[in-house]
Amino acid sequence: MVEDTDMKEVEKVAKKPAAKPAESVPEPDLSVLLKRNVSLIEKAVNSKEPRLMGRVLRQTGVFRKKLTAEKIEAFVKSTLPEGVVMKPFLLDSLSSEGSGMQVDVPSSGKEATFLPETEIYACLVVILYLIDQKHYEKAKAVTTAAVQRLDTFNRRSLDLLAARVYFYLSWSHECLNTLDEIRSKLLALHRTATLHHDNIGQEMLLNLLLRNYLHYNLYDLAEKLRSKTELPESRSNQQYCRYLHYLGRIRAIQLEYTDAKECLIQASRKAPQAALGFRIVVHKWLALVRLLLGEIPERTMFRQKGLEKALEPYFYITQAVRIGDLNAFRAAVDKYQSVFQTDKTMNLITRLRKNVIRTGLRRINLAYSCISMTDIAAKLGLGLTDDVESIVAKAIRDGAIDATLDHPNRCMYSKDQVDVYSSQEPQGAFHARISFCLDTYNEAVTAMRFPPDAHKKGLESAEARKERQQQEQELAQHIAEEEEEEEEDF
Amino acid sequence: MSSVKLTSASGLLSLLTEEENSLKDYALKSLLRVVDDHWAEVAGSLSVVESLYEDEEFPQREHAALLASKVFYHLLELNDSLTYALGAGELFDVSDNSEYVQTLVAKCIDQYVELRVKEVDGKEDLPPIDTRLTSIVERMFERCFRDGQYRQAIGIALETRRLDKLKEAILMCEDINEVLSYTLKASLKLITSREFRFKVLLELVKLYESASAVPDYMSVCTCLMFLDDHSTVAKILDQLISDEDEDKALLAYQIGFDLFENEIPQFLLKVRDEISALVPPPAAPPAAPALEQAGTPSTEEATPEGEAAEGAESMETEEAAPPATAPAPAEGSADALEPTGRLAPTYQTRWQKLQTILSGDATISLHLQFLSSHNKADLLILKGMKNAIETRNSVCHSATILANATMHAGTTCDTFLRENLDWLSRATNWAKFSATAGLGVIHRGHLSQGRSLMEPYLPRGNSPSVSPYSEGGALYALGLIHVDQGEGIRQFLLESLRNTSNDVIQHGACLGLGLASLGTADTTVYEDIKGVLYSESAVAGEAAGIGMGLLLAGTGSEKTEEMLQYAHDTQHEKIIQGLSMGCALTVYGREEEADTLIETLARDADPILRYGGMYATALAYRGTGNNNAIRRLLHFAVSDVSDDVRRAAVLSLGFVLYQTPEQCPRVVALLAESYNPHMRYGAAMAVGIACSGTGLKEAIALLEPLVTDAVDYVRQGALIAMAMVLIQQPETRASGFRKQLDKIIADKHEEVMAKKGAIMAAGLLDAGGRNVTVGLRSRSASHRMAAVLGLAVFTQYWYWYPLAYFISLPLRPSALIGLNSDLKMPKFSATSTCRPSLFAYAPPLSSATTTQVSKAPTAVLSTTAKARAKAKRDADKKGESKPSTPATDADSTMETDEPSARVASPEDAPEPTSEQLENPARVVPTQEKYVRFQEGIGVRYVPLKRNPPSGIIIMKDTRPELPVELVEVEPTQGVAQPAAAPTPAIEEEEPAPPEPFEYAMA
Repeated sequence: MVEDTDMKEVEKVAKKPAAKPAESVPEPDLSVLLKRNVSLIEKAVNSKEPRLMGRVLRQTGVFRKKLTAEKIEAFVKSTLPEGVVMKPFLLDSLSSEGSGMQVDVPSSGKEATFLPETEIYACLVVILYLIDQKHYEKAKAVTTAAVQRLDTFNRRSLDLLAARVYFYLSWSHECLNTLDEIRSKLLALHRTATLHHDNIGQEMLLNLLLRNYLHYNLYDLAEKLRSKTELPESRSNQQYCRYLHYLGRIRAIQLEYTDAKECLIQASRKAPQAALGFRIVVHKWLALVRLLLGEIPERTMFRQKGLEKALEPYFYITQAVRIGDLNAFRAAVDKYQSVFQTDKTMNLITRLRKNVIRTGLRRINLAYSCISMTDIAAKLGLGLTDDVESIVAKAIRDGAIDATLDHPNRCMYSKDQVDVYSSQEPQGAFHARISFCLDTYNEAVTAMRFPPDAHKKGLESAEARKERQQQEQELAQHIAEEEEEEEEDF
Repeated sequence: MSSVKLTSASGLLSLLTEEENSLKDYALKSLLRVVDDHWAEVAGSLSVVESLYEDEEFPQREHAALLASKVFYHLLELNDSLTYALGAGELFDVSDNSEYVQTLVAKCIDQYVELRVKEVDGKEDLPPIDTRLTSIVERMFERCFRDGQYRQAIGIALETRRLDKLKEAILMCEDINEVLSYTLKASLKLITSREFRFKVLLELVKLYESASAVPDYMSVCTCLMFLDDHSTVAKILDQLISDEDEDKALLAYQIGFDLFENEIPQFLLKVRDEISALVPPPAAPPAAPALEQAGTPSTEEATPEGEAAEGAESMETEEAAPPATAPAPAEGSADALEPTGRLAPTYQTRWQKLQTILSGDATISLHLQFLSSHNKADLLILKGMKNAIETRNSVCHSATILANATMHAGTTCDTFLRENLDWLSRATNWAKFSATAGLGVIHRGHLSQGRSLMEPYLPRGNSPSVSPYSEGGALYALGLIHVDQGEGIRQFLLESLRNTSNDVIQHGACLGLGLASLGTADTTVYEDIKGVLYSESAVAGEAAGIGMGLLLAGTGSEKTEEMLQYAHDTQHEKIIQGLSMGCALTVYGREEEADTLIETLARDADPILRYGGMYATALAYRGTGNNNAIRRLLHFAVSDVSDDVRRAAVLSLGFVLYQTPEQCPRVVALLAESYNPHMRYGAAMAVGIACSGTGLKEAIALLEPLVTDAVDYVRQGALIAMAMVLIQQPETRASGFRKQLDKIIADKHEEVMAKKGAIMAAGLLDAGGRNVTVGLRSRSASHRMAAVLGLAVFTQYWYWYPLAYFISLPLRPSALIGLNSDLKMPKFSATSTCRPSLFAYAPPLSSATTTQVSKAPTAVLSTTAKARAKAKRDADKKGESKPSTPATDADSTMETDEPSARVASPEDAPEPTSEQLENPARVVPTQEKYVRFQEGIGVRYVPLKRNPPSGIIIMKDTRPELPVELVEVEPTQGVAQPAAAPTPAIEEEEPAPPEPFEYAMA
């Protein structure tokens, strides 16, 4: 649980690679940075360029850790003119004595040419600070008020900031474990975002909703919502990553392991290298799903830097499954039960028991041409003997092993293994890999951004063209003259 | 009751399948409460909910419908959602403010609009519209009325084509005149269906008439003009001029001027006929000359001098009138409507004045006077051009002659030609034809002396022709002089056509006849031109085709079939070209009615006819922005196999979009980057046409790269288009382009085609002595027929250079001319609230720079130029406005504090922020929003209409007792010649008899 919730934060911070080089340079004062961001916001709104807004958010992440109550207070006081609805409220929640619970937002008063974007940005800065200081109650109050304020606007330039505010709304509630309170609010916001063609808000809210449902293990509801909602066409990588992660989890619970694996693999590949927490979670699920599919994840997966510690329990499980040792499996489960429970993967782990047995069976199947049921039971560490026969029978029927049962003699005869390379299997494997590569390539191409009129720069100017034409003409003349001379020579 | 926190709705859903109705009822109601949170679950059981609604037995069907509707809404299936919402009846509460209801109501209106349009068009049999849908829309109307949002209601009514609601909305509004003019503007601009537009206009006329005691006659007449209802207009005008109130008569004059500006000659002709039918001819001796004059307007009365005499008369009569009527007021009022009222001298003089207005004589002579007196064409530019080009190069040579003609269009100033006779004489054959035609452009509107001016070149009866080229050109020139006003000259042109068998002369005569009888559909003329066509001469046949088109322009005549038939039969491509263009001209403005012809042409196997089809689309849907037309043109632009057709298709977009110029650059942006140079040329021209005279930034941005295109003719098109866009723009914007033109013209290595384009562009940029703009729209935002047709034919210069002279048609003087009740220009001024230099004329080239051939005029922004311009203006002002100042001061009309502008010391004083414009003044289109008339008490002349402050405006004299001070008519270039002298113009010293032009002997 702790890890899972933390991962969002880790990811957030980690997704700012720009932070590191900036630190070496003497950092300008915080208030200067905030002012600069405000002017960037104004520019973004005036030029209708959402990318600038994205830059504002990134830069905010850079100096996030340095925020102090006094600095923010000064910023709010200087930036927000009097009469802005949120101003007194923000100042109130910043002061340490303030209860932070006075959520009564006065009805919107006079607003001059002042941009609502700046107001929401100020809210966001305050929220960030409060959350970093672990004042979740206050953060909740501020976000709730901010969302209420956002409802009064219908501006596309606000989308990016609004999505961020929604995220922190959900986040503060999650920290206080009151996620179920905001589910209807999120649903309503999601509907509004869809109707307003607010793509950013739409995908953010859908993810928050899925998270909300999964938090309470409401997989069925989550799947119903997901299947009935259309994803916006343009989506950010970040949000899509999360969506794939949730989808993978839903699919895994629904026993659709192949789909689940595909989703999780994509999520892990799309996730930025720095988003450690996110990758840990995805890899945990991925390991389990692959095990359930009968595959054995490579050892390197568990040896990735920063992941070893977190993935250790899963490593032991994998080992148990690989050798089909039921006893080792049991031991691992017992040892790490609490971890699996907080990871919400216990459900899948119990499903794995069957896989352990199968793997063991397969090994026996390969090793022995004929073996009695009692021996099998002993090797697998199973208890009752009649149970063994039905397990074996089921495995044969599912095609996990190639063998026949001799019921009267209570033993199992293995059939000869066919050469894999004479079958279609390698071809299939190649095909899967190639199509994966092609898909990745296509996605990369469609995800590329082409600035408008960029191709015009490449065009040659009128003078250059004239010069080129002149040169070509001279060349042609030259050649013609030479030819003439040659002809004359003849 | 269900708990507030329900994790899953599955329990409730399972209740729906119960037998008991009360359980289902409970489940439905509970679900309705939670559906916003649990719609995803309910969506899984949607079929159950739907079947509940379909179950006739079930008592709570409406609840089921509402639930289904909400779920569909969440699924974004708005169509289904709407269907079920309608099924929910009263439960679907329109007045609710929730997002759900708002979204559905919007959807509802959309659907209703769609259905109504289909129903009204009646193309297919449709079931009647769902009454529930109608009732929701009507509820929305009621809401709008309740909240006072009448404009919204009007918008929806226009969209849904509900005339009844439209009427209701307008009548409910308090400021009925304002809302009526809003509706008028909206219906003219936004309604794409011609049929429905007419219905709305009819309704508007009724509303205008019933709305207030004194209807807004100006708007009524605009509506009626669009409806082509000449008899009502005639009645209104008659009523206005027979009214005792002098103001009414002034109003009638103003309406007359406005109507004439829209260039629908046939309509005005009918109006005149109708009114003159009301005037009892025999009983009134003064009426007789008036009638005659209607027939032959080109003679005596048209000129200022004639009017002056007349005006003086009318002044006298008016002064005399009061004592006459004073003793017997009873008689006057009783007989006001009797024929004797029409016989009253006041009525007769007013009628005469109105006639000169409606026939266009007044407007044309005023414009001619304005253009010739304000002529600021810079001869040095021409001189530079002449020296820069090689004389052997006939293309550039004739382009320069064309540039001279456009620069002096309508100014009657032919100094340049006269000074350069030797040079001129290098024009031979068709170049000579064109050069002669150029005289027609220069003397455009010189109705009284047009013929005498052209006399030396005209074919003389039986004597052998000296040069058929100059004779043909002269006939063409006569057409250009008498565009739209050909009553006087038509007979002569017809005779010339009949008397000759030379195809060059026939060519000129056909074009001349077409121009002179534009849109009249005169059958005799038609038969004669047809005779030429059937003579199967390529040269004459082409002109005959175009001539026919001009003759039948805008009539949508059946004769196109004949023309098409011949186009299929003939072997000559030139004739096909002419005919296909002619067909296109006939369907001008017919919109949907033209679809059959367009379809026939566009599907023809012959690319030349398809080319005509593109132009037919352009002209039929001119300025409508019709989506179907645009779609068709874009389709042909990218799919036709012939480059010519594709080029024409792209170019035609400009005609369709000129009403909304800002759209055009966006539409053709991609085509302007096409690999195909023809497309690029088309895109450039389209932008030039649609954005002409606007100086739109987007247009310039699109044209700029094309000006330096790799292909010569693309450059040519882009240069011409750029000149059209930049015409009369502030010099700060145009000066860069001027420099570019100079550079291209002077560049020895430049390709001829591009150079020709640059020369034409230079001419166009300074057209009409820098006092005209390219105006496809009239000031009341309606379409100018001759202008649009002229521009369409102008673009044919691609095939046939002499047609480039059609560029004079779309040129419109940008003048503010104020007239008093005698149709004379009194002295008064209006204020332009911006820096004078902003809209000043481009500074003339100084003589020092002429030695270096192609020195560009200095940019105005530089302080020196500013100072110079101001100094010049100050000088002007001192010269011009001095005489007027004392008078106006005495009248205390000059209350606006402009002494600063006048007193400003020459050099170092900061530039004033406003200036006084003396009547008549040059007001360029972009300047219009800064121009204010003087207001307040004590202002002597009050305009009858304030918006837009340009064009011809009748001023009401609030102090008739004071002496009238008139603007002196400058004796320039023959305009002010004693035109009353009926003798040929040979005796005149100006414009000199053109005998020096005998360059023709080559």
